[in-house]
Amino acid sequence: MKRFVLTAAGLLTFTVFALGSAAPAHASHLLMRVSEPAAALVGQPSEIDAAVTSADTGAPVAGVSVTFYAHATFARADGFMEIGRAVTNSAGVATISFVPHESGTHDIRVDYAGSADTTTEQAAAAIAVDGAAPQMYVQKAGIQVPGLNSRLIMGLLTIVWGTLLFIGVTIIRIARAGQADGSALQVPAGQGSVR
Amino acid sequence: MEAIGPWRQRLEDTAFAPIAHTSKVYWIWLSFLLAVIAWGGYAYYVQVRDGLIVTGLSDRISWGFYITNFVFFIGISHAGTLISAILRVSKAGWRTPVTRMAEFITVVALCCGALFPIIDLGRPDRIQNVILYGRWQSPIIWDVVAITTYLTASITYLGLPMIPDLAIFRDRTAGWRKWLYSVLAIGWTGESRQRSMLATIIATMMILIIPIAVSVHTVVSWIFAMNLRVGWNSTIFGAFFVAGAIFSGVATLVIIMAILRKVYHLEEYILEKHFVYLGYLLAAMALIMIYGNLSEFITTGYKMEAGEEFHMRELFLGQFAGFYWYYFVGGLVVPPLLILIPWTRNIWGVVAAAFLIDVAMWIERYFIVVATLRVPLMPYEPRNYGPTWVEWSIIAASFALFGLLITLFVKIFPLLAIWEITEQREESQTVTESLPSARTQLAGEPAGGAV
Repeated sequence: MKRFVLTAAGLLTFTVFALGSAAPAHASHLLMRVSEPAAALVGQPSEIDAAVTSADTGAPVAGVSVTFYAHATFARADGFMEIGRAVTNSAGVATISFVPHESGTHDIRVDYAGSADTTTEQAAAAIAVDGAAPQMYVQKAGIQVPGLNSRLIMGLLTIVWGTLLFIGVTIIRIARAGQADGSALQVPAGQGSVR
Repeated sequence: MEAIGPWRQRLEDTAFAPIAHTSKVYWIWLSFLLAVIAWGGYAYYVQVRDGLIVTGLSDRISWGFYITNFVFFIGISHAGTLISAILRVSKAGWRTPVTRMAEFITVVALCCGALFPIIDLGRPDRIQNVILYGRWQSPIIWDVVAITTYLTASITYLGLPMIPDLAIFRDRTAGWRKWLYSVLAIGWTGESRQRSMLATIIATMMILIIPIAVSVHTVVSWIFAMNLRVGWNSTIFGAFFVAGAIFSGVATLVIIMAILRKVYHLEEYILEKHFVYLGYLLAAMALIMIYGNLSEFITTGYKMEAGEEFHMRELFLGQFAGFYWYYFVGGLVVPPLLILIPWTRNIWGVVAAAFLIDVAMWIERYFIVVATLRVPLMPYEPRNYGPTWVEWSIIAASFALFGLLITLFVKIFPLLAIWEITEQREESQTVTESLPSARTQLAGEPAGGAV
């Protein structure tokens, strides 16, 4: 019995040890927080900050590299696209400049990979980007005012050329009236003619 | 007042004189103009053969003398139609001896100006692309449409009031001239139905032509102002260009009037008052132009966006300072003084003012085009522009063409609006004759009693 108990305890210890040593990773003991810019505009650079602090002490962690991603959709592919990497400064803050090309909400993710045996820490934020930007970034350029388009130009031109056509027709009517009348202005008396 | 019969006869003779008599000086003048045009034609041949490399144009300053001249000619085209139409609409009776000249200056200037966008193209055959691949969103297309419409309307507006005068010429000529005037007079007999229809379409045209004329120079300004470039990125360019067009147009009209008055002895019809009245218009437009300049440069200079400082330094103190200050002082300040000071308020004073204005307005168009294109868009050294002999020759030829078309016009068409001047004379005579009875009534006589 005693032998059985020792054997079981040994197996249990081994199992615990084995399981413990085979764990995939342990926590990095770092915390991340992403600060989105207060106001972002299409075409204008905005700064995104990621603050890295120690989970144990709360102190800022300097000199670690973090990677920034933005959610993107392109040609039916959907996912996070890397938009930059930065190293935290003495205040534990890593900063990148981001130029949004579209208005709307942009999902941002920041990763800290840590070492090979630690889990990747992630933080996320959403940036609201306003439009009103240089034309090259706006999908539909200009303001769409109903009725203010090339049809208006064509309408105005039609009125002008229609009036000119009316004048042309009236000139023909004047000529016909002259033919019907059959008389012409007479040469004043005593006037010669020039060949 | 002289009886209307002999006076009318003398008016017809005066209007007919350029057609009846051709002096030796006329042929010398014509030969000179043709020689200048031929030289310009050769210069253009060289340009087409070798490309724009023979000009001073480059990738950075791609518009120079040619586009300057284009804007200038389109500007002076406002002389006629707009002035004539405004004076007709406002029933300004004094207008009648000058309207015909004003109207043909418009047509001639438009014909000359419209050539320059084509000349400015290194490959003139590509002009067809404007028609084949033009897009409504392009200011170039707006320009083509506006100028085509304006030219058509201007020719119509020139031709309509000329019909009765052409009929008079038809009845005074024989041979090919009679045939030509018969065709152009479209069977005019002066019967009441014809008069009524002609009055209707002249009234229609004088109203229609004003917005067309305003739109044309506004659209010309938009070729510049639709660009995000320092110096062109302006909201007042349209109004500024229209004012400048009327300004230079009236100045050109004054100069042409003075020349034709002298050459064809029109002193009886074109009086000093015509020059002085047009001078007042020039003085008013000069003040508007000064205001436009101050408004433009103070608002942009106060904000001083990137590039503005370079542009203004070049304009006021740098490479273009001589041009700018001549334009401002010689073209905007001195001419109104010449017109408004009593000692110089005469024909020569107004003509001198008009000459200064025309030179200044050509220069203004030059620095609007070139000084702006000189502002670097990227960090490189500003490019210089200097016209070559090819450009000078073509510019000279364009002015010779302008002179030639006017010379030929007065040789073929009635220089004076005979029937309009006659109507105006008859109206003023009626008013004069009615004055004694009016005076009598005012003195207490019973109406009609003393007459």
